Amino acid sequence: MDEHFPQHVLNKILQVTLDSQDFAWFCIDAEGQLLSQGGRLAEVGLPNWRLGDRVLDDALFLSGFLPMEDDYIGLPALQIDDRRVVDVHLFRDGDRVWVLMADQTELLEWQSVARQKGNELQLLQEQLRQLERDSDCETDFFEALNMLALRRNEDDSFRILRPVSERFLEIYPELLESPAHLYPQKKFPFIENFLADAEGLWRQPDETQRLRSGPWVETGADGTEIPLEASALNWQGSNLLFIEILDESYRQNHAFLQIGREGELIKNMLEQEVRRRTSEIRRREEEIALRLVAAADSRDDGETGSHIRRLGLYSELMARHLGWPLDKVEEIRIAAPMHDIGKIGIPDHILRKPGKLTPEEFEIMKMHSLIGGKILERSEASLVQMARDIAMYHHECWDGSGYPEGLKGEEIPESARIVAIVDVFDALIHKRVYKDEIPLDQAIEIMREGRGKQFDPKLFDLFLFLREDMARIARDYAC
Amino acid sequence: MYKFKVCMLGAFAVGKTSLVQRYVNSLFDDRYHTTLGVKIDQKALELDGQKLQLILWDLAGEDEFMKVRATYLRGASGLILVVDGLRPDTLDTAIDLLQRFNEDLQLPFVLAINKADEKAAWQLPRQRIDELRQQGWPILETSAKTAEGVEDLFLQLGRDMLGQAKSQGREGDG
Repeated sequence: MDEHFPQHVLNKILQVTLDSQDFAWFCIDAEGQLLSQGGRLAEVGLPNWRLGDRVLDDALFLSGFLPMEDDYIGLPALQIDDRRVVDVHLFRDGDRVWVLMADQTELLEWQSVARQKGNELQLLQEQLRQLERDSDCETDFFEALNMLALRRNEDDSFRILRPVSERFLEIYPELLESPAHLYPQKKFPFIENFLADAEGLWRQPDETQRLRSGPWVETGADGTEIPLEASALNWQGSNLLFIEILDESYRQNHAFLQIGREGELIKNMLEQEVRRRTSEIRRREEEIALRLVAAADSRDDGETGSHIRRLGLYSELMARHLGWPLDKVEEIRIAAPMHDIGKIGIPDHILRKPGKLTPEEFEIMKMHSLIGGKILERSEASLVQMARDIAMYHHECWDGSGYPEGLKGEEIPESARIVAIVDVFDALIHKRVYKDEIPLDQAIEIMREGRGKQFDPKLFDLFLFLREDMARIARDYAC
Repeated sequence: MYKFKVCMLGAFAVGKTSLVQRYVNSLFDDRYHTTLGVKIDQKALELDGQKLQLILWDLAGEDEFMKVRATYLRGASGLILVVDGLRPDTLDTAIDLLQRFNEDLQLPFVLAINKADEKAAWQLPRQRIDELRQQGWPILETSAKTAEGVEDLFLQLGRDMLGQAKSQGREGDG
């Protein structure tokens, strides 16, 4: 070190030496000629000058500062080439200028790194603060969600993952006693049941599936019902279990369901009431019809109240087995007894004649079907329309040999074809003033001859199939 | 002590929740309050000197809006099928539920015809009930409103479950 350095220059040299590994110095006169130099000039990007050289062409950073008016000028962090940064200190010493250069490239790099790190740290701090804010938000979020998040441990206990909403403590006060080892399956039988399903999900590698338990209800400390739902999820190798308190959505669904079901109950009640009243009306109609028919038939020694009731029941049985709608089945039970209502127009001497009718008398007798049809015609009630068909056509024959119109086959209403069979059956097996009763088997044999002639063959086969039930009705409703 | 899980099954509004509330808490609320999901209650009782703990799973009633989940019946020891005596179609639902869930499980069950306090207005086909009785169905008439038959309902099922547990060689806990 040159002993001619002024003290303040030496102080600065000492300082920059401590701060920098590479430094150099040189001294020039007012004209810029090199008077002395030292240090590691090459390290600070200076050429190897000789004393007396003019340095201003190389040390361009001095341009504008010479002649130097101030005692000291500092030029920190001067980039002297594309890779080097130096601090330059200029000292005026009379007519001379001392130039001290310290390589700060590394320091600046460190500073840059430090600044970078500082920035990163600042960023991290900011992120941390954000995370803290997020965490607060998350706490609020989870509290708002009312969701308990648990991760399954290896021993099948569970660890709490998220902040716990206070509402969970109402139903699960043990939560905070051992948050790392919880057994919700012991607390809630519902969870115990659900874990069997969750186990199946957790064994699968698929992380996209979520299994929901469906809602269940626990009772809070104050007796209020708290709806919950569990769900299971696989996430990054962890078996997760969420238990959620269902609030608004549950209550909305519950309200909808309640309204829907109450509506359904009211509908059921009204339908039942309609059925009850319809049934009552039917019973009333049946009773009126039977009483009127019985009154009309009272002139005919051959007919009895029991006969007309049985006829309704036989016909009902056949209609049901034919698959008729229930209301039509009920109608034929009431309409069939009216089959002979037209006899009301037949003179007593013919109607009550104990012996065989003459051809003329028989022609008059045959009029009862037309008279019956006339009595019951032009009604809009389907029951009366069916009664009219039966009264009008129950003496028609399948082969067209019957009366009053000589209808054939399916031209004859089905209701009348049914009554044609059961009317003959009941007349044969019961005693009348003009004849004795005939045993069931014998009656059947007699009737069998009418299959396909007098009677619809298919309906007659059905009648044969139902003969036991027919016989039971005959017994149960005997005279 | 024997622990038995019992599932209450039936159509909606037949009185499943009311029967449980009557049995567990001796309470009855005349208003209809539909159950959405599952509610679980417990009741301890002693039967023939044996302590029983019934875990009663009150499952939401089945209808067009909601079907009973089969997984809820896992581990069940017995079933209570509830029918509303005033609504004949609830018998169909109960029979359907039993066929769906108990064909494989073969659990003891009891059919409760509820709302016996309105028996005069019952609409159930008597013949159908008689047929079920002849097939061996245990059938009891109950009223959550008056408590008629409620205790007997759970006792009968408890007895059946106990019998089955013992026949299977199952020991009680503790």
